[in-house]
Amino acid sequence: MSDKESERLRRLPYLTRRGFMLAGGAGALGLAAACNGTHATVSGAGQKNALGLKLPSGAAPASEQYYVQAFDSTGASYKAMDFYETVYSRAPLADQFNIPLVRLNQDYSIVPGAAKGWEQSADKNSWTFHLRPGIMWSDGKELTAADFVETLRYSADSKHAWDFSWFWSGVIKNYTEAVAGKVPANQIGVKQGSDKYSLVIETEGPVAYIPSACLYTTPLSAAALNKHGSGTYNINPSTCVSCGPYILTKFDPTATVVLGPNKKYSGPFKPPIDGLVGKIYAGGDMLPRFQTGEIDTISVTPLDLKIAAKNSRTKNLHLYKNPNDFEIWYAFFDVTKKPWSDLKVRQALAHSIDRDTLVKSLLAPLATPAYGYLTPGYPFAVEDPLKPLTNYDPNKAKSLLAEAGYPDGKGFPNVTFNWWANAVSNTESVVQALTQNWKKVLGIDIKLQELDKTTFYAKMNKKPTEIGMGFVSYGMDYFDASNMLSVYKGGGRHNWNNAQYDALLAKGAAESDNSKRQEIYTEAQTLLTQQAPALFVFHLLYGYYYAPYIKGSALSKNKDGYDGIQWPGFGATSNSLQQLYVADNESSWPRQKQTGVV
Amino acid sequence: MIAYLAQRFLTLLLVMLVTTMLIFGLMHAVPGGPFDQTQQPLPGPAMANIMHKYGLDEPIWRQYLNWLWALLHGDFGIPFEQPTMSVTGLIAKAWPITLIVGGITIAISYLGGLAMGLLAALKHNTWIDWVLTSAVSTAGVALPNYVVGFLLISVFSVKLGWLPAGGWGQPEDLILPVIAFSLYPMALMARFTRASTLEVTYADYVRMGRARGLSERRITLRYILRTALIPLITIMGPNIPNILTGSIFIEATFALPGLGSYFTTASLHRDYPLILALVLIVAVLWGTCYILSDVAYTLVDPRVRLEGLSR
Repeated sequence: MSDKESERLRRLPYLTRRGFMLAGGAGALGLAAACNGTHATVSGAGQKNALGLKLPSGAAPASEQYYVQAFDSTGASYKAMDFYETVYSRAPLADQFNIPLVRLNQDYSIVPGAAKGWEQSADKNSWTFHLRPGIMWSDGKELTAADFVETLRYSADSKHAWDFSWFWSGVIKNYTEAVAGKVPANQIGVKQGSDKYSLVIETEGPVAYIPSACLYTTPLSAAALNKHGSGTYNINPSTCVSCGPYILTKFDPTATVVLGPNKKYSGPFKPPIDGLVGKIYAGGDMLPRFQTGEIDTISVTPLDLKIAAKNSRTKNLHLYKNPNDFEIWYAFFDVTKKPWSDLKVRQALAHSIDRDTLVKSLLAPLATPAYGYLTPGYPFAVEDPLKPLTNYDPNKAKSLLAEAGYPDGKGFPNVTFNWWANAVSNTESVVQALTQNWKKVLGIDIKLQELDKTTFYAKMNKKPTEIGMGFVSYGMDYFDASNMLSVYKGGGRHNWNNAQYDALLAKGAAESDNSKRQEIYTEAQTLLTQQAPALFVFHLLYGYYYAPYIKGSALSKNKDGYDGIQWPGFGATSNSLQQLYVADNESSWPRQKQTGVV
Repeated sequence: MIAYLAQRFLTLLLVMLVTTMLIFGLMHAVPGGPFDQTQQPLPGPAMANIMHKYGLDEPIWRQYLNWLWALLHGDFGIPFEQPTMSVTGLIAKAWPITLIVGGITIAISYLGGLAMGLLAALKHNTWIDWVLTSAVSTAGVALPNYVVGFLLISVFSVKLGWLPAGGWGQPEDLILPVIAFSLYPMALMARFTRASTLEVTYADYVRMGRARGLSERRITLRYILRTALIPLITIMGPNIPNILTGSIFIEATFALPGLGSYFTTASLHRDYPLILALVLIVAVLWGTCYILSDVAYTLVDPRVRLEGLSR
């Protein structure tokens, strides 16, 4: 190396090890200072929010009355914001732009919504709902019976091909025919009554549960529907029309949906929280997002609970639990094929599942053992009469299998148990526990085969079914036993056809007297459990964490001891809307500020 | 060169055509369709309407030709899972995010890996070599990027609160995902750079250069590195499309609204237009990267001649 070059190199600035450490430390401190998210401590008590509602004592300022929720978009598609446009492809925060005829309270009772009252006709073939006058859409028009009529007709229109049309088929007069294109949609049994605030629903025979089913009457604006030709006008802030307390301000189905206060709201239910943010995540773990204050609430899995228990911030948080949509997880059989066509085989498997241990080991506290199809707390659900029909009794199980011709499992044919992965219900562990149980008690080997969800349902729903034995769930669609129990109706989802069971369901649906309905549905549940076309394994409980500053009676325990926001969640269909607010953040829980929401 | 490139790109077009045919056939062979419902199946007439609306009631060969015809007119169709956008719009929205993360990842990991590997080789058998090779490189190759991601979130987001746990919209959202995503390619680059540099370091011409009195910097940069780069092009070139199409795990871990997640959701949802568009993107990227790698060879090593070209 030349002298010139050596000199040049000597003069170059260089970084010593000490200098590097000092610079790095200074940089880290600066980053920490910049990223520090503190929460304002100004109280909002007595202030009015953007909807004009006075905030309760202990509330955070009006500018912080927004609620941030996370939505996992994995496998989801977001096509619209309204139930009657699409049910299975609704975007986060859907169904907030209107008020349904009825709502649900915390105890799962139907309470007035847009309708202040209703009654069944003397011949029991129709129901009349009386709307509250003066509820206005944000375009200046009044909410009337015409909006409900047009919405329901739109749902029956064969060109619309609504993905939930089964719901009213066989219930509303001519609905099935309209969906099939045999009659025009305007001939379905929905019409204005004696005045514009009177809505008449004509049914195919007596239907006792219409008020429960009318939880799903979140109307579209008739004027907007006619103008735009479909219900997708509500995915564009510039065309969104709302008669609810919220209106769309941002719709980005890949990242976020934001609802701001509808300042033209004139309805009866004013929420303290007047802004909603739906953060859309393509998978990933929600717990860190909750811990860092990105979102105000999460639904937790059993694994999340284990992790949260080790974190200083979350370990003392109260775990809210409720059955949400009263989901039942069960193993079903193709009862038309051996060995499942033999009742004794099915009953043997039912009596060989130790549900209590399984739930305690793999799912607790987010599940309860299931002895029947309906979760305790669900309308007309019973449990005690069903336990002896399906309880864990290894001796009985072995003897039933022997009577069926497979003593100690000898000669039992090769069968495959299909399932699909679901983290919330830990299905991977559950199905392994079930097969181990059957091996241990009955000596039978059942092969497990995982399928992806779409393939699983495609095979299950084929007629005839392509799944001989599978593990699946069902969550309710509306609050009446007729809904859940109809899954096992003849010609339904599964291929068990029992005329006596179908007759009981038909009788129960038509009966108005609740005590008689209870008797009918108890008989139906007993028959279903005894005949064992499915083995009921567990009822899922959904666990929720809420940030400590989310408060209100919406989180309190209901009559069944469940707490947290009950189904159907925070929104227009539930009275939780008025019972939740953002309180002062006394515990300094981190909360990332959202701008431009309220 | 131009004729060669033209030939390679024409071949790529043919490969893309065959690939789309294969994928189209496979998509329809898999059970389940895009509009199958889970809780309650769609009534027959409703399903028939939807299938007709999206042209899915046509024979498969006609569906393919319809799709190809639309493609030739620049129309990739409407994704079933996000029908409020076009496929082009969805990709145009998601891919830039993936490209930003991927681009920064490539820059950091390749340059960083190169520097690390070079340093490790030049300081062969010293503690620097040991740290860079055994600790950093091995850890980078062995640890899955989502594990690294969770560790980073756990430390920097949850415990320290310094950086966001995920999301997109602020510059700091890039930091943790890029670190997690860069580790593996950086480690790979470092290991291969070290190996190929060591191979060259003791070559005769390098020793000759030293004997002639050339500076160590000149020898390293002009002779050693240039030669060491040749095998690296083979290894790292094809890694670029992988990075530029996103990591499903990184995007899921850090909630990045990029393209990576659509590779799984499109398949799970049987979103045929989106699946085909993504397959085309991957095929074009892979093919182009291979072509560019081959061209890069000729720039780095004048001895290399591409097939079909004469001196």
